[in-house]
Amino acid sequence: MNFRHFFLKDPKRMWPEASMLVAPLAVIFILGPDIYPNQSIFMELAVFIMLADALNIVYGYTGYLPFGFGVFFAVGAYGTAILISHASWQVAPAIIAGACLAALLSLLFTPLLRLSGAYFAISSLAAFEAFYLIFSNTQLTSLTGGPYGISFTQVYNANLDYTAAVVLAIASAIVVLVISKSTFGIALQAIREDRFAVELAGVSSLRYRTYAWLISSFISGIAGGLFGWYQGFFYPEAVFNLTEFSVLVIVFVLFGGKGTVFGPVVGTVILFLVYEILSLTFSNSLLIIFGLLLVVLVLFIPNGIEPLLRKAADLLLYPDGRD
Amino acid sequence: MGSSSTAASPGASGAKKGRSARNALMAVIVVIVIVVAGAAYFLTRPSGSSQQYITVGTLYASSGSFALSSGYQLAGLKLWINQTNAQGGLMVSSLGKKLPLKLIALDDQSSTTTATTLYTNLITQDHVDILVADFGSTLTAPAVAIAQEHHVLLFDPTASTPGFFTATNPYIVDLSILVSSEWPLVLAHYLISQKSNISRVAILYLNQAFTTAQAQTLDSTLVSAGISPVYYQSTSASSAAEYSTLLQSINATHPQAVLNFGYDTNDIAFYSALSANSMHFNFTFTIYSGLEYSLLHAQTPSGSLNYTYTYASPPDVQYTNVNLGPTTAAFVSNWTSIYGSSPNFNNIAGFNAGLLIGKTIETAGSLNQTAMRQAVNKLSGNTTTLEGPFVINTSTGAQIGMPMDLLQYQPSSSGLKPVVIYPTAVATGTAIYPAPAVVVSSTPLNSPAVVSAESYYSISSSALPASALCLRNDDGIAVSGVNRN
Repeated sequence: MNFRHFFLKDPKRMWPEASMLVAPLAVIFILGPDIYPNQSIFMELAVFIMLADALNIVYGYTGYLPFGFGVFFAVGAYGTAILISHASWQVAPAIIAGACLAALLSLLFTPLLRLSGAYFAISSLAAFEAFYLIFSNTQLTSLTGGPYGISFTQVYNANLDYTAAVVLAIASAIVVLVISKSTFGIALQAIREDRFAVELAGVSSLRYRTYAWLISSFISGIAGGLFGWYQGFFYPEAVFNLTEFSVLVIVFVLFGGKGTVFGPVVGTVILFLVYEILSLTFSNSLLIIFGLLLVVLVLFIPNGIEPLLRKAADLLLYPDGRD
Repeated sequence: MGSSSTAASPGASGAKKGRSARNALMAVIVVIVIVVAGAAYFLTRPSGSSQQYITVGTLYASSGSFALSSGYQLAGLKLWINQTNAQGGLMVSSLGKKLPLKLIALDDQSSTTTATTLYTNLITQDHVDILVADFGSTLTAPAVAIAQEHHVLLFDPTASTPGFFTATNPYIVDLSILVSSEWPLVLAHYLISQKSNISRVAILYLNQAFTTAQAQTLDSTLVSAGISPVYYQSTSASSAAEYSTLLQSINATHPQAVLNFGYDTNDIAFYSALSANSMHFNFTFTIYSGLEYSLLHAQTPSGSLNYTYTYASPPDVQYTNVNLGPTTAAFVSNWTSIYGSSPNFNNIAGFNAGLLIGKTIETAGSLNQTAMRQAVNKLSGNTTTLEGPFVINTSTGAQIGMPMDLLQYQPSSSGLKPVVIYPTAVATGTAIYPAPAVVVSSTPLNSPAVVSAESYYSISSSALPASALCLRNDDGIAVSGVNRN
């Protein structure tokens, strides 16, 4: 297999889009904390961008929606915390190892990839709950902290964590871009459109989905490790949080436009910031306003805003239409 | 060739125009972002004017699993702020004047992720002088590292996880609640003292830090005294249907005592399930029947709380000899006249936190965070409030005063009466065991148990079983626990 071709079909064509991804994100993450001095907001934004990109790889490009997707995030957070607090690892290798644990876990779940539709979504949800109960079990208190949570405040470094999260959030967006331009990405999209046709053509859809699943879980694990590091101390329910690290991420991806390069990033930036602004200004009615907003978006922009933005850009750039 | 050259030129020119237009669009976007950023920076930067308020920043949950308790705590804190402002505010001697209090309360919806953002916002954006944690350990956890990072003292009303309190972090202090691992010690020693009557004990606990810590302390203390629980199980149950299933399993072990460690919503579901299954145990214990009596009384089937046991805490236990703020009775009376209903423990914890914050500021004479931490240490051991003796481990900030004794709700002609039954030195009555199975409709509380603060300070170690000596030091103050050194 030609891996360079497999991942980089046409590297030169990537640069304009890569710069359009990197530049706005760099502006947001560099200027953001100066404009509104609350680093936590931008830290969480970076984490959610990573999660949205990770979910986009498996959901957007293969069409498989794992409702319990947040399990990889949680395992990454716990892997990092355990290696630092029990084995005194340095932060960077601990985060990478935590992400590798998440990827290993995804390998364990590969039989789930033989399922499809609601069966796959529900089985991943069951896996999420099972691992939540395992990590919060009192029998594992000496390892995971059980329900008491786990602390590794000795390495707490908010600024370094933020810098790492920003770099890796941008990197995750670039990974999606690379996949979208690669033979691998085209194969994934083909699987999404018609799995049986792809298999009739002699391509193992299971193998491609497994690759996507692995990459996705690894990125989620990295996001979890960074998030855990930023917390310094967390309870099981803080990282095994289905609403925030699974459902909300799915909403971000859907809003932006699944299966696109810019969609999940744009969707996360807009919706997450709207969510934060609402929580700071209309906290009493946040869930009502946000819920209504989502209903309106799903009703009127079912394919996400990325196609709309492209259309708007085309109208702006080519008022007379493309040749 | 010529024609093809002619045909290619417009295409190349169009592509070039497209690229330059795209570049122009990007440049416009970048310029807009920079202009907006600059404007926002100048609009949001601090004014630099002299201090006119003491800003108190806190979080609360309007929804989610902690909404009820969080709301109770905030209500107590608000009352203290209103009363303090009515008196002209708090004296800050370094500024030479009294300053009114300004509350900034943000809604975290019981979400730890949202809480992380909001705690940071209170510190970096609102620049609060006083940072008060939301209710409970779960919603306080995100604040611990953030407060330490920003060198801001976190005033913690109701988070009791021992792991928060370490000698390396001077930026947290537990104001209103005993560390959770200490809570069941009196209960455990009561059960041990009743070993001849109660030998089959069932323990059910919610798989959260607060409740697990208590269950584990109880379990290990009982086991060390030769009582092995016949049922010891964690749960994530929250509905009556789920508790019904669990109660069937518990009932099958024929326990003499059933102890359920959960939050308010769990206890409501637990009692509802008991009633629905017509089950009755000789000894039934829950946490929140004492902490939030009115809620439990209103939300559980009639008679559910009769003869049940809980922790003895204010307002059921009333402190008469206080040296900071009102007595428990005066506070209850004042609260009832304002709100039309009795306060619960979390109302009192919120108010008590405010009282201690106010005294801390006045003692420190400034709003300097380190000075306030030192002032809290000065208050420890010689301050008694409506919640009891305020004693902290001065190196870790963990609360080791405000004891949790054992209480039974006993029906009387005038309603349910809270009777402190253990330790004997502070008991106001004796337990009725086994609990009669007759269901009597419970009515609102009357005649709270009156305990003077002195009784806690003067209680002799010999008043407790030998195995309970770890509970009190020579001064009679509860000192055992993870952080007592």
